[in-house]
Amino acid sequence: MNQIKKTFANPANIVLMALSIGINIAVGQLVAILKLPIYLDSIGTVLVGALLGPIAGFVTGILGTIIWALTLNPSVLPYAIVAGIIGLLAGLFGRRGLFTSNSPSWVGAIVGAVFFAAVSVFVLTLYSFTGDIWAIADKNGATISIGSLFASNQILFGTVTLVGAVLGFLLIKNGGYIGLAGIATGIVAAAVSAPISTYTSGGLNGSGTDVLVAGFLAAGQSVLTSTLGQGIISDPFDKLASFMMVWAIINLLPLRVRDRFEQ
Amino acid sequence: MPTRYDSLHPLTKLTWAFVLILATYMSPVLWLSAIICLAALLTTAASAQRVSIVRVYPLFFMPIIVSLLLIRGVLLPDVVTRPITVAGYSVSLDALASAGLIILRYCTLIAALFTVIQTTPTTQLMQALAERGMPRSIEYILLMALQIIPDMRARAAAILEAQQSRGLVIKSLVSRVRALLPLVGPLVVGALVDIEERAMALELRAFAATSQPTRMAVIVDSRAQHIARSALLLSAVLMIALRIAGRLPS
Repeated sequence: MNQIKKTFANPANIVLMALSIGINIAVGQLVAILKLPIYLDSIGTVLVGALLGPIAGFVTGILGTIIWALTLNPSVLPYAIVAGIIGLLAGLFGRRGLFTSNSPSWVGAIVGAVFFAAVSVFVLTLYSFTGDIWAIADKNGATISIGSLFASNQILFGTVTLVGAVLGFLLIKNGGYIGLAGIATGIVAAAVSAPISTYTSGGLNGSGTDVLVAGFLAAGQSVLTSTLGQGIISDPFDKLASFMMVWAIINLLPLRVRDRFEQ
Repeated sequence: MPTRYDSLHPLTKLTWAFVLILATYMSPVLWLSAIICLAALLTTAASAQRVSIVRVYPLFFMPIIVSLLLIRGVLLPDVVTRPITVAGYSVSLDALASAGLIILRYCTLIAALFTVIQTTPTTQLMQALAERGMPRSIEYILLMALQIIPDMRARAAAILEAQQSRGLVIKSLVSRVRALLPLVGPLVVGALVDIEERAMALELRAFAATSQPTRMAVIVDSRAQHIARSALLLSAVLMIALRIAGRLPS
């Protein structure tokens, strides 16, 4: 409790949190100019989590969403908790020193390969089964079915996993650990935002990602599962990129600047 | 010329918006949600800025209305009862109704929030919340962030131009991905370098003072508004209690 009070009593921390909210919005603008298929709108939140800890990250996520709602679009307000959780997780990973540690390159390749393989299994599972995926899992049929999925799509899985490994080796490089943390955060973010999206807007938001949701709906999944499916495809990529960007920036910072912050 | 709605206490407007949103998500039927949505739109109409506010609504509403009607209502309905034929195409009335309910709820959410945001200066809203016990550090973060955003956007644009003048090319997907770190890096590092100066400015303005700061502006409140807010909050509690007790079907 005292630690939290101390964090919020230091003017430099207050300024960092405010600046990070500005960074979220300015980076969102840069990504739009670059026409990249990701958002990267939580870089500032992740930065605060990494530098000031989980509580400050959580608060920055929530306040950032409020600012987003005040200035750009009020429909993001229900997702404040998702942004908060991203900041919180970034803080917890930061406490473990993940934002300052390098991994060997082969870890990056493995992370990329496993991630691509997992996403393709997930997508194929949703598309191949009619009916609710969770109901199938309950009947203990899921493992056998995924096994048969593997058997009938060997070439596809092989290619996807190889592509993941190459991309992981080239892009993730020494950020294997933080990449993994980003992917994990993305999965949690998708799991938390799916029920919110389902409840507030029927799982759709009027943007391009609705096509993914529609695809899963067409395969016979429920609205919640379809929304989750869409999130699992787009969120981990986004958070992986955000975490790696913050990791790269923190490693660029002079020690004198880095040491000023609490973690 | 501000209307009576505009000059209401910020918390009164906020409570009203909150109750509208809660009510529409608790409402199980289309007609009730339609009335609540109408109430939200009438709230917009009660403001002096109604024209500029309503002008933005199609931007917020149209994409999701089209998406919901098309995907949930026509192409992939979750129910197929009560079919009717429209232009040779069979459409389920119940699927359209369920898409319609989501649309009404969503429109209420946006209209209620957006009207409060557009009719209340943020400084007033923050002051009203701070007077009710919101920590001052939170108020500082929110207000500072709002002031910093135009500055940060200008800085992002300047960094883009500077890197382009150094020969940064933005063409293929690979080049655009590569451009990311040279653009985001200086933005973040530049912001971090700024911290010291801005923190000193905060400290010089008695950030650490323990006494309550005095305010230049006074937000007008009235007994009637106080009672109205209490009644609205009570109705919100009642709605939640009824929903939990199962009196309102989902």
